[in-house]
Amino acid sequence: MTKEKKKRNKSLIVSGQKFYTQLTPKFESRTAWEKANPKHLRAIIPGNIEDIVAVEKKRYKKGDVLLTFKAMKMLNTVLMPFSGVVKKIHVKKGDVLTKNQLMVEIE
Amino acid sequence: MALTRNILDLRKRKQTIEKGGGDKAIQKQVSMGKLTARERILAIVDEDSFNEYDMFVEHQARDFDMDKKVLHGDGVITGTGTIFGRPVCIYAQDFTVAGGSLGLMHARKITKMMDHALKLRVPLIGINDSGGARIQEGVNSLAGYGEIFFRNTLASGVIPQLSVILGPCAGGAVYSPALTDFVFVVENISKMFITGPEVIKTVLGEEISMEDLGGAKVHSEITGNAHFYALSEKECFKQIKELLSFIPWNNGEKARSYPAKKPKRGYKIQNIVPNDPSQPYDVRDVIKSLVDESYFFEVMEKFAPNIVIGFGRLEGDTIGFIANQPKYLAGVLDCDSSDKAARFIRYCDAFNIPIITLEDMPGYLPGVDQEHMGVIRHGAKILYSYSEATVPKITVVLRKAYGGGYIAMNSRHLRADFMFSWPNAEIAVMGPEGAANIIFRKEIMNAEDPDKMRKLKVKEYKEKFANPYVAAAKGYIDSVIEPEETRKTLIHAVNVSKNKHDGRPKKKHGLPPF
Repeated sequence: MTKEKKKRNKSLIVSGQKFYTQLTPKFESRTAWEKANPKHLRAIIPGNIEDIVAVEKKRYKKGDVLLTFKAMKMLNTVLMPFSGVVKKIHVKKGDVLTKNQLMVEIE
Repeated sequence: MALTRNILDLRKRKQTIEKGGGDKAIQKQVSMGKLTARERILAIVDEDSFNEYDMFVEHQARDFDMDKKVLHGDGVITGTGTIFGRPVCIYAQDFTVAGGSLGLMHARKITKMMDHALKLRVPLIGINDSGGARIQEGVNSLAGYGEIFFRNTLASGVIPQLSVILGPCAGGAVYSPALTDFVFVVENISKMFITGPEVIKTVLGEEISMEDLGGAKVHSEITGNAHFYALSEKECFKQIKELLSFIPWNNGEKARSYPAKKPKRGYKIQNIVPNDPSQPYDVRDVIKSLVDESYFFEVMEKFAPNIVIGFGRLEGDTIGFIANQPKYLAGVLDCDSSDKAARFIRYCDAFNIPIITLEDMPGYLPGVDQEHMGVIRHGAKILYSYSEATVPKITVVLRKAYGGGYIAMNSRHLRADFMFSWPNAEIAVMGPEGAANIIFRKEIMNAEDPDKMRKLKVKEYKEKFANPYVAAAKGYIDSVIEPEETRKTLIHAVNVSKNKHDGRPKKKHGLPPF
């Protein structure tokens, strides 16, 4: 028989049945899903902040430019998705951002 | 005599070229725990069988003072040799010469070997150890890569293509291994990535070591890019030869037959699978109890371990095994395991290797991450591959076959040739508990003691439907067999399928859900 270090089995429910089995590291390190908040503007790809136009507590119309963000050698402008007040700007010029990093919060 | 002088001159030239990048560079290679390119080739092919070509090829780069540089063999050794006395084409990038960087002539040496391998219908073994494109050669080095990738694709499914990663393999270079059939990696030596740690640090500020980003372990366990993981180059070469012992030399042949041997006595097939469908076991023990000498050569052991794939022999002939592994994640199908099995099924089909499927699976893995990763299209790959395959296809249901999983795991409906089941198997649209909850919802809800009623109804369902005889009554299962009869039954099934002839509608190519 195949001999390996004994690992504790955990339970996993599939098709309404409970099974005892080992979980893989990839399965255990999966991230929980969260609903996207439209008031949070996040970096969709890694890149850095070239320029910030927006000011906190100020009202902007839909389509106004908030900041420019350089990613994959391209300059992207991040626009106000709907009219509202910018609550907080979480980044500053020159910041290097990872994917999904929060840039701007809208009230 | 002039001839003697010429011969001496030739020998001297060869000696110089065989030194590659020179003693200092070789020392550095050795200090990294690596063999030289030539040592690697000689360790893989049969003794005295290696014949080198294009030794005197020189690069043609003129810019950036490159015209003053001599790069022996242009950083790659190419040739033919034999393994088990049968011909192979082989190349090894030489890191001691300009970091094994790929220029146009380097690539042309490789593509010449690839063209030979395809014409001669022999396996191609590529040993990668290269810093990447030779920047000084500009777009010419890109051309070189492109010409290699194109040939990898042409040869795919015609001759076996093996990629051995024994050093860095970065940027565009990774796509040649990715296009080949099997990728071998070695701990601490292999490094594969599209963008290296340096770029990631400058662009993202994320610090990661080469090993953590694209080392041998990462590709064997997380990405699924590598098929075989070894602790040393020596072990890796052994794996290459073992693999070659199981597969045919091209798609027009069958794998070599070996003398028939019995499984080892230690594996008692009737004692491996627990009756309780919720209890795990190691399905590899079932495979080992079936195959000759109990020898199972597993492929992609650490990636998606919830499905097991690999080669074994039945009475000396190679069989491709695919088995759900209840030991991990209850043996479910998910994105990774579907992908892993689907590619292996297509490999077996392309190279005339019969497929035996051992089924014990509860269904697809539930979860938002799975759905969002596209378990629908990944899961579809396994259906596609089984349906498309025309080699002998045999299934044994060991314990449970529920729902979509029952259909996917080489069911009769995907044109399996033979379907067998053990008597304890549960073949049903879903697990008894789930099914009873739906079918008898009203009775359970309206009962005085719903829990008691649920248990009663689950029991009732189990007795009536959770067995192989419902499917056998419809002819979906050909035969219900005792575990101890399995090897005998499988050998018979494979033997009667030897001249199987089955076709699919003529088309340019299908559209598998990549």
